[in-house]
Amino acid sequence: MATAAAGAKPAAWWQEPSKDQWLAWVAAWLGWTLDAFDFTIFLLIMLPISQEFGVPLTEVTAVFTITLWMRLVGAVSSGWMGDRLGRRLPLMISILGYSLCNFIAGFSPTFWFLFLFRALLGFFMGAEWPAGAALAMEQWPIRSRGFMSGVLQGSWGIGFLLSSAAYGLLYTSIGWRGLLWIGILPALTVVYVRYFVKGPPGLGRKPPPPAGRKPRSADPAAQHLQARDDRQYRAGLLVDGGRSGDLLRDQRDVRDPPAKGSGPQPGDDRDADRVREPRRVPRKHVLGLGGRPYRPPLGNDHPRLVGYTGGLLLHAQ
Amino acid sequence: MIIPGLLGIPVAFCYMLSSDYWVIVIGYVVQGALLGGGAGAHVPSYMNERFPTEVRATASAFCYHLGTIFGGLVPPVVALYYNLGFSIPMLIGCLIGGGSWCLALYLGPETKGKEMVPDLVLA
Repeated sequence: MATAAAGAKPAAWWQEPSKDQWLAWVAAWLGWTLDAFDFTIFLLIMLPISQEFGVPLTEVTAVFTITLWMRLVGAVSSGWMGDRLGRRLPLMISILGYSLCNFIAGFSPTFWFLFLFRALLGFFMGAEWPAGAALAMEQWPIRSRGFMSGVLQGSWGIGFLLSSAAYGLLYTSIGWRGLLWIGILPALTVVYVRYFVKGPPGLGRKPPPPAGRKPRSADPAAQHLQARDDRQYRAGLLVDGGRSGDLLRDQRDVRDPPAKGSGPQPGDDRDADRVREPRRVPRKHVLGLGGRPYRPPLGNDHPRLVGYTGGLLLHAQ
Repeated sequence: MIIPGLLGIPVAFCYMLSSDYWVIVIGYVVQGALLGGGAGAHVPSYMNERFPTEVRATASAFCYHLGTIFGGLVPPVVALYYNLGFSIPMLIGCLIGGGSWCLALYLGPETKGKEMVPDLVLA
């Protein structure tokens, strides 16, 4: 039987991803391709814009430069949000943002109004990539990840093709403003992402509360310790998305062991069919800096929290 | 990712220094498959495989989009050196971009087959 299993033909690469993984990839693909549409449509209408507002073409190209610079700001903001709240929300915000910015830019009464909203479009445009790429790639099976990464990234050209087609077919009838107005259509993708796409397991979810904790002690000193731990746990959620909070909780569990069977159970993960083998590091490497037991320099609470977070960042390098 | 990057550099010389229309057209199309799209095809998977889950989106976003600061400067710089024609400034930009691309990838780690999980898991 084992021989028969070993000799079985492996599934085709496109059958390997689950439905959720395909839906997530399509969401990223739509976001990226339509992002390209909204961005590149401007390349084709720079000349009529300069003529309508009476500004030199070089000033119109400066819009392009600012749009690209704003991408960095948007991308880092979106990435920060994605690492804390999950990938779906920043993806939806970014698609909605660049669609609205393009739409509003179509009503520009002045060149500076257009400049402002195209710069804002750059912010949301940059925000799309980290959310979409992380959403699609970190769920996709390893075997075909490289190929689908190429298809995803290369679909930028499809967006450019769409904008060129829209320019060729519609410019004479709706003008440059109309071409910016149809940039609102990608916003419909948000509905798809909202209702059909699931984020990667474990991201953007509220961490489980400390399980099996002992009831609060009547001892004032013990109450003080528990209250302090709660404060640090909440602070950790804000500072680094809960990682330091998890460690603090873990440390507390060492001190106050949870009841048996009250912790996370096998099968809690929604995506149970995936085999996840994390790189495991010894506990001492996490709870200390560089493997050394961490000692608070001043003996108060806050340096310890900073130390945990700093240790995590060092290990994350 | 390095191979199309390396191939794109000589191709840039071929069509950017040519005055023949069809050489420029064909060279530009070929460049689209090399430094244009071929080299960057693995960017989403490579960038996401480089960083642990806790900082994946932030780190990959910052590294990838830092290039847009320099990329955004290209149109004004090309316009500034217009007296050299369009091809020479574009060729210089292409060489700098392609060279730094290949060098960064050569110095970076291989991430093929990496399972994307949090790096920090309690043992």
